[in-house]
Amino acid sequence: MKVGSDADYILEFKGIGKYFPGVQALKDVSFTVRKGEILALLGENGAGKSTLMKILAGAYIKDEGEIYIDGKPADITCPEDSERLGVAIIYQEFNLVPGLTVAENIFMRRQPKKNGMIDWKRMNQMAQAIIDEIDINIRPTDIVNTLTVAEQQMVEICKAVSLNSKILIMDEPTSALTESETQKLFNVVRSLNKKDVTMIFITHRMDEVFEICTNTVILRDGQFITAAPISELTLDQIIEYIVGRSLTEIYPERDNEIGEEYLEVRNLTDGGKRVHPSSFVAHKGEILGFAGLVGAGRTELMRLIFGADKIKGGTVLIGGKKVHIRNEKDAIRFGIGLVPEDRRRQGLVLALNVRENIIMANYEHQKTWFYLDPQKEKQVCAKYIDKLLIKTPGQTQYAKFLSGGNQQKIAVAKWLNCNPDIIILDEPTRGIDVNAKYEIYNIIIQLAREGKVIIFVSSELPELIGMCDRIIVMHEGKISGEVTGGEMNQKSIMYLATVEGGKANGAN
Amino acid sequence: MEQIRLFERRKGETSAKAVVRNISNYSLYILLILMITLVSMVSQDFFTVDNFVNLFRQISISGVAAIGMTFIMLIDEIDLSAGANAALAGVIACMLLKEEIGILASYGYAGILAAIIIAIGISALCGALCGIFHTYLKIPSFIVTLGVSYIYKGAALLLTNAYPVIGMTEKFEVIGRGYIGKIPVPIIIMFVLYFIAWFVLKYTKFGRSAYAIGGNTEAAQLSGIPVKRNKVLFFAIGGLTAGLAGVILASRMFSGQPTACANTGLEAIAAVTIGGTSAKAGRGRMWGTLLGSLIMGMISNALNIMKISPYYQFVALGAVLVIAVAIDKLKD
Repeated sequence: MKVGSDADYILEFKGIGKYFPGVQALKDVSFTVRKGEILALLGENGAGKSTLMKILAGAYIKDEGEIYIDGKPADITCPEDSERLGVAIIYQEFNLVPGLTVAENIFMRRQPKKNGMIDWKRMNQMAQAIIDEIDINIRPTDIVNTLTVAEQQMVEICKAVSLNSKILIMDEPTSALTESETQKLFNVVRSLNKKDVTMIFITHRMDEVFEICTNTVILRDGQFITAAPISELTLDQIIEYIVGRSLTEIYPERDNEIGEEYLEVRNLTDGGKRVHPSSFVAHKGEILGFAGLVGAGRTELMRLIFGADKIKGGTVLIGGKKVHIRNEKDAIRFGIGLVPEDRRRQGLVLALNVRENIIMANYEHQKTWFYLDPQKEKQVCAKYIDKLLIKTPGQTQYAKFLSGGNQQKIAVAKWLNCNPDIIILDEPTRGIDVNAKYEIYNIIIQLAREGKVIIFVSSELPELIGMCDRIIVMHEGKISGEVTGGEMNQKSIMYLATVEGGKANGAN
Repeated sequence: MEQIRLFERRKGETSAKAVVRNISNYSLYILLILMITLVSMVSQDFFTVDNFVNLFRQISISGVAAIGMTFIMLIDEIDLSAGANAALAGVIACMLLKEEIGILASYGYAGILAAIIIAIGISALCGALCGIFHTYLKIPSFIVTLGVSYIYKGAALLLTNAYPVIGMTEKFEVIGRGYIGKIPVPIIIMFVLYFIAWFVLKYTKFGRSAYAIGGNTEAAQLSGIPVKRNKVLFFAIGGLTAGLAGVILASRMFSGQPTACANTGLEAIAAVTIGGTSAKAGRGRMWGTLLGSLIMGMISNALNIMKISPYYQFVALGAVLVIAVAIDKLKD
């Protein structure tokens, strides 16, 4: 046993280092966590938070340094090691088997047995006991894929409780939750905390940090920056630590000039499934925002315009001419580009390299006679890597090894390579860090300045208000209103997004 | 695709790890050289021009079928019907060229060419149909091609009454047994096809789309790549090369056996796998597939020369297939 004050440290990192191909993800990270803390682990994307937690959870193996749990050196080489040491982690992508029941998921690999066979009755009773303990409203026999995201998260928490975990790590636990679900989660967190469970939160939402956390640790570029009780820090200080410079302004100056009307959408619909007949216009050089709650039909409307889903009614006019868009290829020919909302699933082919991804949507101007010219491809890619400040060791680096911000820039570069007149960006800044966001904003303004029509779909209202010339609001598949100038504030937009107001939570 | 460096050590990698990874990059070549050296020491008959010509002629059948299979496996699908498709094509070509009854038997080389085109055309069409069933009805390619392979097999047996088709016009020999100069025709066909396929895969939009479709179908679709059309075409190419493989074999045996090519399809899949094609890793090269075919062929050939029981060949081939994939996995 160690002596004195060390005894209240449940967890200690000493000089942790981790390398990935081409990058050092963690450099000499050292800090301690006291028993019973609710720690906010903060930093930009790519700062190394998730990597550090994955090392603690045994998903990655550290290359350097030591971890101490309860003062004893912890040798973690696989998830089972860390489970045995009382560490549980809840990833953003849950680790549940969707087709099995809640009880089966909680007691996976540890089902209580009678005569060598699974004792279903006892397993369900044990599950019920845990469910009661953290006071949530699910049944042990519910099939996991019938539960909501918030409920599935609770199943993960039950699993951690059943393992008697002393340290519970949650990676952006609230990103998919509504406001009321978040509050419920916080109640559970507080009650577990009273039972001496130490919590580590990875989050980007500062208001939650101040609401629930007791301490913060901030990482930047894989290095430890600072640690402090939350009461000793202001929001501005935290952001300064995270970003490494003071943020004088979050949004760049806009100097785009709005030109003539270019895109007109008249009563466009998918037959009423997700999008009711919707009409709007957009101008050259204009940044047009689309706001709304999750599921309001914004993405689906954009997919219709881009030809990714079948148009069942209405028309699209480009430059005053009616166009018939049957598929993505048509849309590209008519000068439309779509940067989809999920860059990993829809935007990029992660297994291919940067160059392949950039030229994927348009090989035309690399074409010499009838075959593709690798030299021209290289030139084209070099141009976009320069123009968009894409940080990559080279054009042949695999897309999966780049940070979220750089991946997003590649998705944008792919469309710039098609030289579209209309660029639709669906949640272009989701899950990328503050600096990369700023760069994406700059790119958007640059494109608007070049006279392109920019359609900017986002769930973050401050971003839309800061960046757009005009914002269209959608609610349950319909356009419910439009705000410009002084009306562009959170209150009026939320009102339109929920129509009667107060529906905010229900509409999810 | 990948930048070629002879030895590369990644940041933070121990040198032992780097050695293993780099060796595994060239494992195919190392294996090939090792085999040639070893077998040459054991037998004098191995490292001879005659034997190598023989070896290439042996691999030409599954080697040709493996061309289409490379495209199909690059888009992360599989074609289990290649062998049965090949047998059907062989039977059809032979029936068209059978003297007295075959409608194309009396037109000389033009008739032979027409018969081959009809036979492999039917194969390509069958492949395309599989592709259509797979992409438009969303049936896994595994199931579709397994199902149709039974249909092909049944069709070949019904057409022939389960008897081999014999008595073709003599000139049909040229495909499987002929020579141009000193080189057998099947070897020339194989190399020409590999060259074309390499070019298509590397330098055309259509070929490159295979990597995108295999790596992430949705992203490919949203990039305006005609995913469904291309998938059907890749399956058609698979059918076409399988059919051609069947025609070559039928010509070489000079008989249309409804049960020929029993192993051709699986050999093609093995060759593609050993050749390092992996859709999820975004990897795959035509020459890799040829190398895979060569390694498979060389094992059989070497064991034959060393007079080891042919039954061991299956054991050895299977072991090489599994080991090749294992080395590949170690790389990542």
